[in-house]
Amino acid sequence: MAVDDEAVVGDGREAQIRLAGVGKTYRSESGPVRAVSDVSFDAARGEFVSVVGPSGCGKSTVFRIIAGLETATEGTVEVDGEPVTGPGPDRGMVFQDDALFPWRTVAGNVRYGLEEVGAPEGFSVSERVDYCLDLVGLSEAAQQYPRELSGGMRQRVGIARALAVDPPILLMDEPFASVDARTKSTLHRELLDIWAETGKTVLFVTHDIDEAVYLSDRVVVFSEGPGTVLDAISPPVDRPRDRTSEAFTEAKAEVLSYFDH
Amino acid sequence: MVASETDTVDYLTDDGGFVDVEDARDAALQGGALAVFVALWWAGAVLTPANLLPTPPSVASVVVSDVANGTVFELVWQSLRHYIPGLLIGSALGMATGVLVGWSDTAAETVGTVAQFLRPIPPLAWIPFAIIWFGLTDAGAAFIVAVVAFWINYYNAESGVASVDRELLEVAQSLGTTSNVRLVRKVVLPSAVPELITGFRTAAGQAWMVMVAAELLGVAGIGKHLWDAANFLQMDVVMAYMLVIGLLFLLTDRLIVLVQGRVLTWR
Repeated sequence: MAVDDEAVVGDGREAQIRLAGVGKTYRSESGPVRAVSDVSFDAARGEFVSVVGPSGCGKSTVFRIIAGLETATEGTVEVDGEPVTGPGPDRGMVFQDDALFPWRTVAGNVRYGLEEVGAPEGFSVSERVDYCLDLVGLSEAAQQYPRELSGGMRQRVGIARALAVDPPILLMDEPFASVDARTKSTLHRELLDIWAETGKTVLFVTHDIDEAVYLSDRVVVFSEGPGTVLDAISPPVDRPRDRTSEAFTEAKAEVLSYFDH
Repeated sequence: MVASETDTVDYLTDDGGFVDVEDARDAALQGGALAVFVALWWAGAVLTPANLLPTPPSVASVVVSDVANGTVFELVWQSLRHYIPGLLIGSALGMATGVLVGWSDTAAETVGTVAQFLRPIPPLAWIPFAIIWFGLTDAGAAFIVAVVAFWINYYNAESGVASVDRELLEVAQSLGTTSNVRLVRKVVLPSAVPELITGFRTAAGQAWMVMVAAELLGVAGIGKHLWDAANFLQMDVVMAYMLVIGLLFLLTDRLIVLVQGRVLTWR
């Protein structure tokens, strides 16, 4: 399938994340394994972009390349016009299995990045911790340890921790894949509220099409491995989105059409 | 031991009454087991020829008189003078080396390789060197204790550090932790604390055992006292100080578990 360049590049706003011809080949004992191939897409400043694809399509590899945790074997990855050379506080990360520091309290986890790079302008460290905990509705749990929290609460802490250092970009790798359906839809609404309040650029990797269509300005659709971009779809649905509306169902069907064959 | 304490906490939160039943049952079982043990010991002592096994009352009378005249405390103090420095120095060096080898591939290939060669040497085989280097002194015995403590702490620290969750390191890097030293201090060490404590606890126990053996060569302490008594066939004294060592082991272990509970509230 030909890639529609207009749709892939976005709506003409300034690109904050730009991938051009990104490929990744892993060495393995049975020979080279191609994870992703010729991946190109942009995310504009303040845009909510999801990457969807079947498991094993290399979408997490793309996440890790943008995060700077792995390097691409081909192509370029730029954030704000600069090539990515490693992980950094300009890109907050949220993982599927929360990855909280178990020896730190909720507040301690949120404080971590502030200890490393300092509080954003206009905040003291403790003000910033309070603000971020309030943002995710966890002020009450500040002194609890991660083991005492539910899966949904732990993901909220992960989001607050990533936001604490005020990164312009939030990278999320299947953050809600292991929480129950009810909690998941609550977290979806909360994430959109946070996004609206903070204006972050969000790159959200998921295999859940409903989730991608509900959350995103644009849904980048990956093929099966080695993953490449099949299309980028902007769901023409007004926010707040109604999952039962016809427009929503149609947008989901459009994404789904790439996998139903 | 840690797990059973966590269980007790769970019972408390679930149902306060349940705990009392459990505790009473535990105490009855423990007391019963000890009583059966003493009874068997006594029976064995009575049924076998004299001097093979002292009776519980004869051992008890040694303990009572040695506590009364202060001999026990003097001997414990003499042993502690090489037990504590040996344990602390050996543990500190072992932890530091283990953390280094667990964290750095280069250290694993160099220091780690040398360690694999030295590890199989039984600690007591170092006794000739201990005597040549330090003489029959507290330092010599402390050296043997330190060798034991070093290896146990080394392996626990190494595996604790090597098994640090990769995602935690990645998160830390994304939050601005860039230098290796800082990653170790802020992520690797805190996450390895449970293994470090386990290593120290195991070493503290093993150190008592090896210390007795190290004293057999003539450094004053419980071990030497035990050996001197054996030479005069005072088996009641030998048995009394075997029990003292057991008690010291138990006390040390309980103390460390107590500290562990304080340090690891997050678990």
